[in-house]
Amino acid sequence: MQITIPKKYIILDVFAAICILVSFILVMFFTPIEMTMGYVQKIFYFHVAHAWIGMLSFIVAAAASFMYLIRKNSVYDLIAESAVEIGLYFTIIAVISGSIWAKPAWNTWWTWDPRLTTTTIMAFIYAGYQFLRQSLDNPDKKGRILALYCIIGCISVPLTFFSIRGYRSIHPVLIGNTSQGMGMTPPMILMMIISIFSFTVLYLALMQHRFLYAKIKEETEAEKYEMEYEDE
Amino acid sequence: MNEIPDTLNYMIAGYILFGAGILGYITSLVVRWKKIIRQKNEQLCHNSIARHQQ
Repeated sequence: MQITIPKKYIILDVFAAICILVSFILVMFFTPIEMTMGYVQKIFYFHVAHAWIGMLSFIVAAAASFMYLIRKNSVYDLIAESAVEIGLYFTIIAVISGSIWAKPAWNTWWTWDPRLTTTTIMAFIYAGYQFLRQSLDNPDKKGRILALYCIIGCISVPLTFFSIRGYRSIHPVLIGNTSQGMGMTPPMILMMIISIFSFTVLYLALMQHRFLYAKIKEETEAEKYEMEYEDE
Repeated sequence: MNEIPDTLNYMIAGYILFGAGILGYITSLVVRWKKIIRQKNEQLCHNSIARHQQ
């Protein structure tokens, strides 16, 4: 018996690759150059999309953890595991890319602004989740502890999202801003929507592979444990 | 007329980060996939030998 990746997975992979490539070409060659920031403003299209994937992942992980506590089905635990890993990775890239943007825009690589601080705290919370997953052995206990941790940790998501609205912040408000903002023109807003859509497709493609990997890994470890138990 | 600031290098650095980030994650997933599939196949092979011996 050979394990192969299902064809429907590959269709989504190809679609995701096309979406990202099209987004990149549109950002580079078709979006206008912002007058006050120059070319560096183009980072925003992918930076926001990365931050969106981070937050979406943590919400998905919390929902899956909640379902795990209700149904006790390990599939939900595997979904949470996959979502947290991808979310953490994309959040870290969003933080670093934000820092690259901040240097010419704010004249500093880092400042303890509410958005930057809450995003970093959120990343540390989910890094803690990863460490906790590695350190616990008992599968049932592990599942319950991680599910609770993930649900409580999800509080950091709305806290991060609303941090620039509730507190004084120098971070630009892009969504739901009617007063000041970045002075985004309609082509810029359209590009932002295209980027977010493309990265959501990429997220789905990555999630399906990461989930399948987690499932096979769990099966393999369970079989290995059984074999060792039989040998004894 | 105001001149547009030259921030091209920062944009390039940002997109190198995005590209490396996405490719890095995909590569790590492919490596882990290959490892787990090899383990699974070895286990299947081991199981079939054990069944024959029984």
